[in-house]
Amino acid sequence: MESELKYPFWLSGLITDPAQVFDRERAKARLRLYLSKGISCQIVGPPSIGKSSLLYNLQHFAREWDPTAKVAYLDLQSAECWTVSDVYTKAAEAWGVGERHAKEEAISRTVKELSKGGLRVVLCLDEFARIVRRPDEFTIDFFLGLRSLGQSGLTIFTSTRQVLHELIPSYNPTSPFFNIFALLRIGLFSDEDAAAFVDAPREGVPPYSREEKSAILSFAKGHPLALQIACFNVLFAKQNGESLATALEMANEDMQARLGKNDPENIQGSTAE
Amino acid sequence: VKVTLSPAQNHHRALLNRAAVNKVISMLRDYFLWSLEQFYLMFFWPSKFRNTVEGVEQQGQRKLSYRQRFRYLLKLFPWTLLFSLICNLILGFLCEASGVPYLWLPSWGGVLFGLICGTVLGVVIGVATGFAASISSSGVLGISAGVGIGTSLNNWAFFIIGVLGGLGAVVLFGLAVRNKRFLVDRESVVPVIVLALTIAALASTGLAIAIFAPTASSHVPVDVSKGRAISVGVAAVSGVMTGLSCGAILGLTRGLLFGFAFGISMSVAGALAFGLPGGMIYGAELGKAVGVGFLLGFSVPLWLTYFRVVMYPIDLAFSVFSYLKGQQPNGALNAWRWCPVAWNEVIWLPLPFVSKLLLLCVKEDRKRGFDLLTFIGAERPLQRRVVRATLNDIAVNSLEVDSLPDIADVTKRLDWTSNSRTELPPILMASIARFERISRQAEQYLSSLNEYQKRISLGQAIEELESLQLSLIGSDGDIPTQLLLVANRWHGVLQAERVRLHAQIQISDEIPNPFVFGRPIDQTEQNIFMGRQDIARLIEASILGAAQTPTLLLQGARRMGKTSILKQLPRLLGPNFAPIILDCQDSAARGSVTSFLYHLSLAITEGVQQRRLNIKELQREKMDNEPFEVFDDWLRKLEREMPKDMRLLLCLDEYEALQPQTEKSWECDLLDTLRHWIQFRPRIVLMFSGARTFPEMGAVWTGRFINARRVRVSFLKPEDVITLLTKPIPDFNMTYTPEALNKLITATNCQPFLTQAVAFELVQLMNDSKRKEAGVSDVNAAVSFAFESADAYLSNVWSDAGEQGRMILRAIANGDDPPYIPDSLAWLRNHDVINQEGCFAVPMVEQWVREYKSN
Repeated sequence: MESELKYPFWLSGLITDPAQVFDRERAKARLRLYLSKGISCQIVGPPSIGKSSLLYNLQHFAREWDPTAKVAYLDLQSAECWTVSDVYTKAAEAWGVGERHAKEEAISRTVKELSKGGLRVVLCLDEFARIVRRPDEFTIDFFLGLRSLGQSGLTIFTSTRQVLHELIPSYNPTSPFFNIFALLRIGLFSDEDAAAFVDAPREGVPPYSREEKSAILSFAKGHPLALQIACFNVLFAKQNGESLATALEMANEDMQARLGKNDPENIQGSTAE
Repeated sequence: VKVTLSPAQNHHRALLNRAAVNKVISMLRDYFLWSLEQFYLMFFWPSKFRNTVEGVEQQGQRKLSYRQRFRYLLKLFPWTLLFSLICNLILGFLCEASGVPYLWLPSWGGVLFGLICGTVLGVVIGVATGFAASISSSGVLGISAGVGIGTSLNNWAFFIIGVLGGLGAVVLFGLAVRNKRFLVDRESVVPVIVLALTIAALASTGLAIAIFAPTASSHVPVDVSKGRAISVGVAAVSGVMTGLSCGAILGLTRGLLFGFAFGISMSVAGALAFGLPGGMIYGAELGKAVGVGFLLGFSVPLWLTYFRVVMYPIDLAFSVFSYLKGQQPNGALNAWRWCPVAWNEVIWLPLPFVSKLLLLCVKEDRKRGFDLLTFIGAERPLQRRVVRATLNDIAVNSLEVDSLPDIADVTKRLDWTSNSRTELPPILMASIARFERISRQAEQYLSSLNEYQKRISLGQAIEELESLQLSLIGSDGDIPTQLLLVANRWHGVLQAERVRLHAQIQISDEIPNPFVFGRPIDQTEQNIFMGRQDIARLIEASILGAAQTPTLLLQGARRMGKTSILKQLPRLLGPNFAPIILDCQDSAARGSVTSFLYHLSLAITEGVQQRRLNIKELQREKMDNEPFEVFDDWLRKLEREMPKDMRLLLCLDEYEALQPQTEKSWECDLLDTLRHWIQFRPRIVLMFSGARTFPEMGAVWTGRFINARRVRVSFLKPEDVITLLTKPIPDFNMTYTPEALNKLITATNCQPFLTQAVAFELVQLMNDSKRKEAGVSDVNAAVSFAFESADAYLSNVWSDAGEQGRMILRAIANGDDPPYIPDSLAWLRNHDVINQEGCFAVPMVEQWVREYKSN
């Protein structure tokens, strides 16, 4: 517990505390607007930029923005979501309806009934690209079914590195899955936001010096994960009597290990799944 | 030898004596408290007695062995003896006081015999039965012996009658106590009937003995003329009491009317069986003996003990007292312990004020109040009606509101109704669902920052409420009246909020954003659905003006608003059309032909309900073997019930998803069936909706629907778009410079999706910059923003164009001469990507291609 207080940074990538989702005000405002109008949205951005954190915490934000929202967040990397049946079962669980409502045949009726009952039914599909890799299970029929749900009361939010039309194969002749989605790209923090992140007061953490701040900002170049890692390493080095250069070296190694890149800025350009 | 004890020894002995006395007193006190607890449980809480003292363990083993039962009864014996003695004394003196001769010595013999019988029964059947049987049988046998022998001068035959009669009563009593849980069970009438038949059989046996035994004796005083009237009267009362007892049991378990009828019939039968023959044949003394014996020995104890009638006045007084005490501030939960239901399980008759007290308890502390209801539901089966009544009251009470936050809170307050296993009245359940919807809309209203969204939520809430009010006005009964009063109060609160919101919007800086893209516009959002009356008129004319009902194809490029048109059809078309929409992309409908037809039946049911025609949806399981035949029968029935001018307009949206994979696919059978309907069911009109024409889809379609009439959906009319952009909703307070409006219309060329997307972005932009008049630069910026938000549409146009189509588009965008590829050019024209002149139909798409795809 003590160490958590000493190092209040999210190094695992996914931020699960909604209060810790820094900045992203524009993205949140957009998502709020889309939610209020029932417009499905694809959140697109480079790796570790905060898509999953935003989508994960949408569960919390959505309930705050619209108390009638029934949000199901599914991490499609999880082994619990490897089949169509798993996906619908987990979604039904999160919406608070019984298992019999989760069957593929019943799901559209369930969504319609929940919507008619005055609820805003929301499905957040994190790491959406994962299911595209299992075409035998997640067939075109699944995507068409999901599109149909999106047209009859379900609001879908996805997170991907690529835009959906690049991910999902073309399947003429009927309307494609992706054309019901608005696009929301998220990228690096602006210079002001990155500086505000470093300056943000944290319990038990002494403020960074001007030199440290400059080094962190220069290293991270607005990348949210790089900022977290750099802040952590600089703080750790300071507390253990190590130099700033060592801290940045450690941070660089960490980023390299995670993303396979030396320079966080390059990550923005990476769209390969 | 007298031993003299020293003072110390005396003191020590005194201490020992005192300790011994104290120990005895302590033991007696413990015994007394233990006995009191046993009596309390036996009398007031038999089910707990069964669970804790005797009863059955999990493996079906009884808790107490025969030996343990005997020990238990022996432990209770002092009390059993005392009560039996008191009972016999009271009965004996009552008999003597009423002029009936009573022989005390034989009566004590009867008491002793009864105690032995009761103990034996107790060991065999159960300790509670044994205790009750000992006292009642000793009383019955005592009075039977005392009265029988007393009245017939040592006629042992009558002693035998008394003995058997008493035994019968004991057995019945035991059965009644044992089977009480069955009696409480509403579904189980068999044990009750068995009990009633047993009574009748024992009565007949007693009567038979009474008939035959005296003939062996010459001491029987036969006086038919005097005795007939008395014996008939006394025995009739006995029979009536017995019959009413059984009737009451049935009444409480199977319904009051049934119980009343059964009670009356049993009364008459009992009176005849007990009294009439005996009185007619044997006269006054014998009739009186038998009648009084049964009357006192069976009916009265049954009423007083089994039904605890003796306790009812006390229960009544406590109930009133507890309610009055519960009305004090925060006093309800404290007062509950005084309520008889809290400590008495066996209250057969209704008690007033209990549900009112429970309601006060729930108001005082919701959780503890519900705990009490759970307790009654589980531990007081005879008072479950109180739980039902209280839940009704709680449900209605939960709807009481004074303000909008109160309304928004109602969903939480009514959470329990979704999980309640208690059956609330249907009108209450149906109304609660609607009140909940209104509550959710109020919640949405309160949490929304956007005034436009607020207006929508409030409008929907008021609309739903007014519809609920109308449905309640026509319903009879107390509950609808209470609900209507509540609904009226809600209406007052919501209307007041509407007035306040309207005033707020007038002075607000924010521009409401009613525009929406990416999903179809629902029928409820008719204000932002503009135009398309020409299409509705064309559909109507195509159907009404044709000699033979045509098939229609609503065809247009993607995102041109086809699904929105379908959703608006119920409003756009006249009441004689019932539009039915089925999304063919819905995976539930596309699993098999059975699934398709089943979901089509659901859509039809829903569609005709909008036209106030209530039909039952098709049962899925009935369709497993012969789906087409079953569906056809159902459709035929529906056609018979439809008003004669009504037509079903079956709209199959995204029809391309039905493209058969092979000639043997189920889709081919389905298409054949659809074709059959076109030819032989003139009241069913088929309308496909999609982006492609039938020739594009191939011979599977053209071969079946060659005569289909195409209804093309293309760009909106500029005048409709101007109305949409300038006055989409009454409170819309954004304006445009003439150039800006013109720019927006030109850029999108009235393409519905892009118009909505750019207008959506424009409103956001204006709100961000806190301005209300949009200029050309704002429109340009909004177009740029829409390139991101509407990227999916633009990318779809690009990918659908195909490689050659993309070459053409890129060349046009770059100002080069496009390659001449007739098929691709035709496709691009057909799908409104380029116009007849070979230019981009939508300048915004051209700009997008130039900016994002030119290389």
